[in-house]
Amino acid sequence: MESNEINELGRWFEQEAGALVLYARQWLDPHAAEDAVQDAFIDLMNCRRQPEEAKPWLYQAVRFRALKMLRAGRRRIQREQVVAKEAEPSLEGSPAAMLDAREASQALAGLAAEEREVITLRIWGGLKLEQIAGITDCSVATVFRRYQAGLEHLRTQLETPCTIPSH
Amino acid sequence: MHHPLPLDPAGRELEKRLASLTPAPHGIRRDTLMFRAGQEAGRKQASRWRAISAVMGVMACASVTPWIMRSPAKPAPKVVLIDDGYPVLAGSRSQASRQPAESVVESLPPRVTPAYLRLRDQVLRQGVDALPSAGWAPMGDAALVCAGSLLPTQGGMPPAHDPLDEANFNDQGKRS
Repeated sequence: MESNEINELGRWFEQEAGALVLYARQWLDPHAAEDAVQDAFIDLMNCRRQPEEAKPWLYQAVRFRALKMLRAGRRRIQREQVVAKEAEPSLEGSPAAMLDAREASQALAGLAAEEREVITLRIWGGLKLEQIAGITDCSVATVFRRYQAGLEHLRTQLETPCTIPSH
Repeated sequence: MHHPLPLDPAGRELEKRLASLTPAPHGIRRDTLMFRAGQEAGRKQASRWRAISAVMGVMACASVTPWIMRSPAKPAPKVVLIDDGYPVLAGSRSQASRQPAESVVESLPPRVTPAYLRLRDQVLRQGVDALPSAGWAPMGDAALVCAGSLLPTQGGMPPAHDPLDEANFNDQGKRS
């Protein structure tokens, strides 16, 4: 492995690791998601031919790994996933944030899987619709339709005032 | 985002608000990742060398096995030429095959018969004129003995008729 490859990998890691883990957390618990992301980076490093576009390649690799892990231990992971969703928000706010991170995380978790995937890839992954279409293996029009629908659902959920459960 | 999508203002506003949030911090350490990547690369290289050496080992075995398994060669049947004093003509094509044998196989029965001995004595006394001029075929026992001694593998059958040899033989005989 040459030093420029290591630097390149380090750059991709700094830029994308967080979004990739967020993407993998759709299917996996936080620890399994981190494993999937690490494996994807290692795959990228050991690729005989470097992909033309590393970023979509990484998302696709994480997706592949995550779905494989999900299939391998679907029941166990789903149970852990429910616990993880409740315990840790997948998003983090900053002072400049215009939304509550916990609320947004919950709203995101409440979306349909296809909508959540497209919104994550578009907003936090910063991918183009064409790239998302390539990753999710569907048409650009479908991706756009899902994106619109996801945003609409999020807005509905986030604008709904919090109700305090009465006992 | 580089390419804004054709969304309604509310959608665009929500996009902006969502983008103000960042993914939660993760527990992947860069050093750990690099270490694992190095390990994987080393393992991959080692397995490649292992595969190459395995293939070479198989090839070596494949090339050596037939050599080891080959049954000991059967001893080639020895052609034994008995120098029985039968005249050999200079320049004859069959002269090479009439070289004196270096070793004699004991198992071959001696084929010297009284008729042959008589013929040999005649030739020694009178030269090749003593030989019958009618060729090989009707010479009886003596011819068979001569042929048998020259070509033991043919089991006593007379050698193939060689007109050139015969011509040389006759010429030689007339000259002498």
